[in-house]
Amino acid sequence: MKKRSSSSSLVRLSLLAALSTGLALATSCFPLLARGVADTGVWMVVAIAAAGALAWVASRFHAELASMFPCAGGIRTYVGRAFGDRAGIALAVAYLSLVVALGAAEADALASVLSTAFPGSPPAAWIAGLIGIAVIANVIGFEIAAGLQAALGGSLVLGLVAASGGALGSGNLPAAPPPAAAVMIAATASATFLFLGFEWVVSAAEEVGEHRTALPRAMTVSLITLTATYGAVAIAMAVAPPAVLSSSAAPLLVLGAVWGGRIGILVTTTLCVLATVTSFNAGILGASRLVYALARERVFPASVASVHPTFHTPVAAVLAVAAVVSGSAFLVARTGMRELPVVVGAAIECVAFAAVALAARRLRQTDPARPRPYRAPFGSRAALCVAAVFLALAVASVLSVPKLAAGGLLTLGAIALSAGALSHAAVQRRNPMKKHASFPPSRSGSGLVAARIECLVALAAAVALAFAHRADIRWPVFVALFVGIDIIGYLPGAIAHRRARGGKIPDLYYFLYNATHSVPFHVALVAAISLVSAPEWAFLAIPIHLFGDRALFGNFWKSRALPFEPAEVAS
Amino acid sequence: MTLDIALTDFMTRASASRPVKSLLARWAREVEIRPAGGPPRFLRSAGGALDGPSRESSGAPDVVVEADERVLLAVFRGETSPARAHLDGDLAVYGTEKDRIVLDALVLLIWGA
Repeated sequence: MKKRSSSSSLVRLSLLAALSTGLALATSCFPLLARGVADTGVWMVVAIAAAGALAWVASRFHAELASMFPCAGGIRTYVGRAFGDRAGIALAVAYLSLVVALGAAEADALASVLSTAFPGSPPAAWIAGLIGIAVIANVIGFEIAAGLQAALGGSLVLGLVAASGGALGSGNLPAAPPPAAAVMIAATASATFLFLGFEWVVSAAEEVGEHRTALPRAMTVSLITLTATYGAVAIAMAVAPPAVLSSSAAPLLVLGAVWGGRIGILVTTTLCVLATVTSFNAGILGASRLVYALARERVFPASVASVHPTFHTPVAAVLAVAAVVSGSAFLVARTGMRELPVVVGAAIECVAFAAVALAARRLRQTDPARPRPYRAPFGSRAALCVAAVFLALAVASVLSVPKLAAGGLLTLGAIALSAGALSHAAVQRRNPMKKHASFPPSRSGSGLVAARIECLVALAAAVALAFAHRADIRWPVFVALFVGIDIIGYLPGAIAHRRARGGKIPDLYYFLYNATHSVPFHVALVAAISLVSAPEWAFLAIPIHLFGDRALFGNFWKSRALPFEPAEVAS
Repeated sequence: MTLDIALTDFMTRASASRPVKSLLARWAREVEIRPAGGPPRFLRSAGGALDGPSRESSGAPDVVVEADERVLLAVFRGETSPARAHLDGDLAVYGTEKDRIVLDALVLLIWGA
């Protein structure tokens, strides 16, 4: 009896591990791997191992939270419980952008592979076909069973290792000197993308049954498997000439051609299709369910939460996700900025890992009595360190491809602003009694709306200018100006407000906020700097910040008569 | 109000709703409502109609809804959206993604929240 129980535990563990591995292995990972190998040679294996180890540490916190809140809304729940609804919804929306980025990258990557394998076929047709199939499958409710998904994941790993072995046997591994530390950090940051999706096993595992204790071990097995598989592929890629590898949109096919010619190309094409099947559909499925849930939370319009009466699927959410993924994929294919969604996706994944570590730390302090069937073997300080490392990696990821840094920062900025605005609006809708503490009480209603619309126009103009001159902007200066306004003007007051538990705080904090968020102050500041040095496009960070605050969040100036942060005020 | 009364009221409203009947037409499931520390209740759906609540299962339930009795009461009385309770981590639903959506849609159709 005991033997049967232990063998069923082993089956469940294997199933979950294969499921998690299959979710992370995607066709869009291979161009990223190829770029890493072109930059660092065989040392890419070290970057993969480092990213895998960091993902494992993050997975411990993820498993702890999943054991506390089984079958819940993932990161939305964890961060929401730890830091409030606003943070939870904002991160959920950002995470949604990550899935869209992954979907766009995956559709484009597989289209490139198929167009290479079958010359003459247009990539756009493959993209449309792939997304069309995913939409139909999701609308009619066809879901790949967990067992089949796990079997596909296992086959994929074996196929990739075999193909890599074949390529390695066909050539000599060139010796490569250790790259510079900055190059290795950038490679490690990018390599985080390779592990994206392994954590989705938390929700996908429900079909498998009771999984609270098996999940942490399954994620460990999955991360080891992924590290070994990517490592094998990276070593095999090091055999091919770096120039050929990094210039190819389908580097796995280059690998296939090295060891098997036409047959090798067909085998690696099959592996790519398999990789997309195990990750893409799960991504669209997960994203549409998240959109549905967010629509039910009134983050998105209620019409998005409609359910098909026959198929019982959230049809509007599926179509909305498919439309955004299609638009992004065609944009990526048309502009040739193939690495942009990967860079952005890796950065958001790093931020999500950091948020999960911080949420676990916070909930240990605020909700210590809640049962934790699994507890991460790390203390609170380790959680802080993990968060700091992942936030640094998020920055490194954006800067890892210098030509994409501007586009990456703008995209991330747009995602952050949208996520903040949507979460702010949702919380306001949910709590109509909440009065705005940052707008004079005498001005409200249509006057406030009109003022925000005017600021929105100014914001759009500033963003358009920044986009048009993205190549001329010194991005470190831009980021420093954008973030500096809040570091000096907002954070001190927010910390004081929290410490005072919503009570009265010194007027100095209101002065700091109102001064650093006033247009005349910045006009004077910019004029003074321009006199000393020269005006530059990075100054656009200031109007984007100020008008973004006003238009998207309704934050004009803070009245001393009201609490520093929005608070419950009787109407 | 007890959970049994709330569930009975919920079933009455469900039986009177045409969109609910349409949604349930192809959804034959047994749902276990499991309040923390209390006895489970079972609802059954077949042929567009809901049956229950009963204290005994007819077999292995397809979907399990688990929460504090207070949360379950609020959900089945239409005071709390199940989607919200689920995302807040107060309500766990064990079952396929599709079944969870149907359950949520049922409450949406009955209570409009």
